[in-house]
Amino acid sequence: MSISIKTLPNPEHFVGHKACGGCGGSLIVRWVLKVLGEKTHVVIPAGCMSAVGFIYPQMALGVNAIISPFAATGAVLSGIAAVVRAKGLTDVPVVGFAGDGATADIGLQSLSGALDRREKIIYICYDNEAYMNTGIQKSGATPWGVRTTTSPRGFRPELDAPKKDLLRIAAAHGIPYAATASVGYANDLLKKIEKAGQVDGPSFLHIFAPCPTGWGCEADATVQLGKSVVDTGLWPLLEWESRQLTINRQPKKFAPLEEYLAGQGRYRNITEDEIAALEAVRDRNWRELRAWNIHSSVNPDFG
Amino acid sequence: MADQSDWKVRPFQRPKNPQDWPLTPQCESGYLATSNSGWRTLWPQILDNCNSCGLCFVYCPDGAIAKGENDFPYVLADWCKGCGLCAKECPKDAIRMNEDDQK
Repeated sequence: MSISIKTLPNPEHFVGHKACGGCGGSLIVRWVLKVLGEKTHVVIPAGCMSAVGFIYPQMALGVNAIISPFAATGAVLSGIAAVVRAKGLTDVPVVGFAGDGATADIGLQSLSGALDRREKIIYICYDNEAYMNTGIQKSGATPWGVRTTTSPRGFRPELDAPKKDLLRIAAAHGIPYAATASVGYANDLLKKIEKAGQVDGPSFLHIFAPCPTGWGCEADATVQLGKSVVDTGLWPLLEWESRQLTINRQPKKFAPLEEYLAGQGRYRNITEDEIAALEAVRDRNWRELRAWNIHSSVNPDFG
Repeated sequence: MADQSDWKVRPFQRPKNPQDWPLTPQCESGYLATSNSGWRTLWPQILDNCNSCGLCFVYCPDGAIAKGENDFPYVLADWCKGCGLCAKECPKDAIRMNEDDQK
């Protein structure tokens, strides 16, 4: 039976952590551990989830877990996976939870190496679009126009500087499974976690995780923002499987961007012209995605 | 490890001598040294029109909502931070955020 919000298992492996109220990242860790079960081995680099999960003298995780150096999530993951393979264990998923900074900036070479080694690992990037643990600094995954403590007037580079496209980076390694997901679409997310656990080889998940503290939104807006970012077309739900791209959700008409931007303090000084420019970039991204989708289904070998 | 209601607080006695501090977690998993109950200002009250759909159990980032008899949810005072996500996502509006009276 495939997993959904109706069949989410009861056993709980992430309780009593010290994350802020309404944290999207901790919701993802909780769901992933529920789906993969208590034999999971977890690797967490420096970042929010290691700060809130490993609380001396006890830890909030009910599974085996280790803090890795900031830049070495992928390396530690493939090391653990190699031991699991050498001992002949078949029911031990090895999963890493890294933030967007630890994935897109600091740990990118390590991720690339881990994907290249083809061990059976699950790499999960929970993307809250800045370095939240150290005080909301701009990262390589911060979108245009966002206020952080290192871009107090809003991140507005003169050149076109998009968020790093981690799905394409992962897919370019030719791995069996890569996907994007959002906390707003729980069934889609749970299905993708389950799939990633069954794939033989490395898999990569890029998950949208709102951060009420860093984004200046209400603590109860996490799931609603996760929905509206997909409906406005800013975060496409994608799946890269067997060298073929699937777009899981294709809205006929995108919801207006204001709906998503309004509740967030980090977008407070964005102007109407800039919103129109963001819409144009979004439409261009979707044209490219659809072209990739068609191209990969016509000729999977060169997708 | 079983359900969230099995997670308990086991207070940690701070040793006087630095050499007595543990190098590893102080006890087996499933226990935590401190509760999070002091974080919240609001408390979710579950009303009678709840139809036990389980969405609050799914969406709680802290795992603070457990399923009781006939899957009817109840809130764990040690872990709830009062963020209000359960009340916002409840399709029946069966959760009301009140002033916290659980301390």
